[in-house]
Amino acid sequence: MRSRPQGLSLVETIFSLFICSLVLYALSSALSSAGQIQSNRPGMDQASETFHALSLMASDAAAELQLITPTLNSTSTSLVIDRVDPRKAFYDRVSPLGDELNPYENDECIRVIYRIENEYLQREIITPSEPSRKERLIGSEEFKAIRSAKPGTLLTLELTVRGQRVNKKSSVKVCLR
Amino acid sequence: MSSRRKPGTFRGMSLVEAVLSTFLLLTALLLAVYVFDSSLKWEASNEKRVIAATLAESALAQIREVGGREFSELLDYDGKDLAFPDYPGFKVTASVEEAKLATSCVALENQYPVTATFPKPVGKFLNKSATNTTVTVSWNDPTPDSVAVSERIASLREISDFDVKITTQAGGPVNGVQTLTSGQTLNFKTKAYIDNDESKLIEDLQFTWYVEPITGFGSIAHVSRDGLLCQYINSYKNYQGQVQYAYGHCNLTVQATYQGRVARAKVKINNEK
Repeated sequence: MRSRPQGLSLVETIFSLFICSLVLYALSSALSSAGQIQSNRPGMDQASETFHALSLMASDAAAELQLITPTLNSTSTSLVIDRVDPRKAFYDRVSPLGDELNPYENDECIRVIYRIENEYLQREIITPSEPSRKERLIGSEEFKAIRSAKPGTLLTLELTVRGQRVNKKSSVKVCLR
Repeated sequence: MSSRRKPGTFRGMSLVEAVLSTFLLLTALLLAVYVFDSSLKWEASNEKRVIAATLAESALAQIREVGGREFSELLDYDGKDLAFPDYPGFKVTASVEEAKLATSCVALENQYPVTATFPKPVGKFLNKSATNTTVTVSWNDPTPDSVAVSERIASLREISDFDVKITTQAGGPVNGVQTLTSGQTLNFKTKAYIDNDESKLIEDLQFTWYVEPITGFGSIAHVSRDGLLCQYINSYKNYQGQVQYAYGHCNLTVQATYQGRVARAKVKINNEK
């Protein structure tokens, strides 16, 4: 007579179920995080792009030689700055071939303009010797540059970008010299 | 009894071996999942960190702007929460304290006592020129976390003009010509201020004292290391180190330079026999 298979004892069953539940719990936790990240990914990418654009504007504004727009105590939909061309090395700017005492000659400076064109925030760079070039930064609904009254020197840059469900407004403040 | 197995038979694993191997496998698996899960959560918090860093920079810009107007207003930001209505999930708190900056070297200045009676020297520190400012941005979603950015913010208030004044060591006015007999000393103090208002002091300025001979002269016996205090003596020493006298009138002058502007003040001294 063939003997019947013995099967698992109660202790073995409970132990194996315990191990299975641990593994399933860990996997579900990881998969839930992954799902959350997947759904948040577009928002995170957009946040990174937004703050890259704001940081770029803030760095240009902080380096201004002259802030043309907005004027004192006003709000503007564009930001216009004259600054030193960051591509030129300091030693080139004080080269004896030009005015070696002036590192801010016209051909060593650029004009940077931020404004919204065709629903995108654009950075236009105007150089004296080259044709102007435009960089498209991020799809945006609205851009505002707010300059405080004297003696304040605070510039607030507000950017409203198109979100998946709602538009998101982000801002950065820059202390001008 | 022989311990050798018969060919074609397999003893299998004991319960202890099975439990131990399962435990090891399970530990490795859970650790791998934990690391994977943590990296995902860390990535999720990056967005908050990017926003927090930008917020901290905005808050520092706001405080820097105040420093450009009035240094004392900077200290009002200590412990203050700054409002950023566009970022409701973030709390921005500033911490501002006066920075003690040794000029020119911490190791050198710390060798001097903090307080001493003039003309004994004391350490030279700038106490009202910069602040140690820290902005902390904290948030609770998805997990409590914070970003702190520190910066030394200097006072960059622009002035149109300033004045220097000589007073007695106690701070009283110096009226008329000061008469000193041979070898007599007299202590003076100075201060710099703006807007013709002696209460609006310019702090941490370095003063220089010198004597302008007219019909006679004395010399400067001691000057405090920051130049705030000066001791004038009705005598001078020649190149051989001998004490000499040049009776007559002279000016004791103090000079300071601030933001490229120079201001002087002088007091007339009569060097008597």
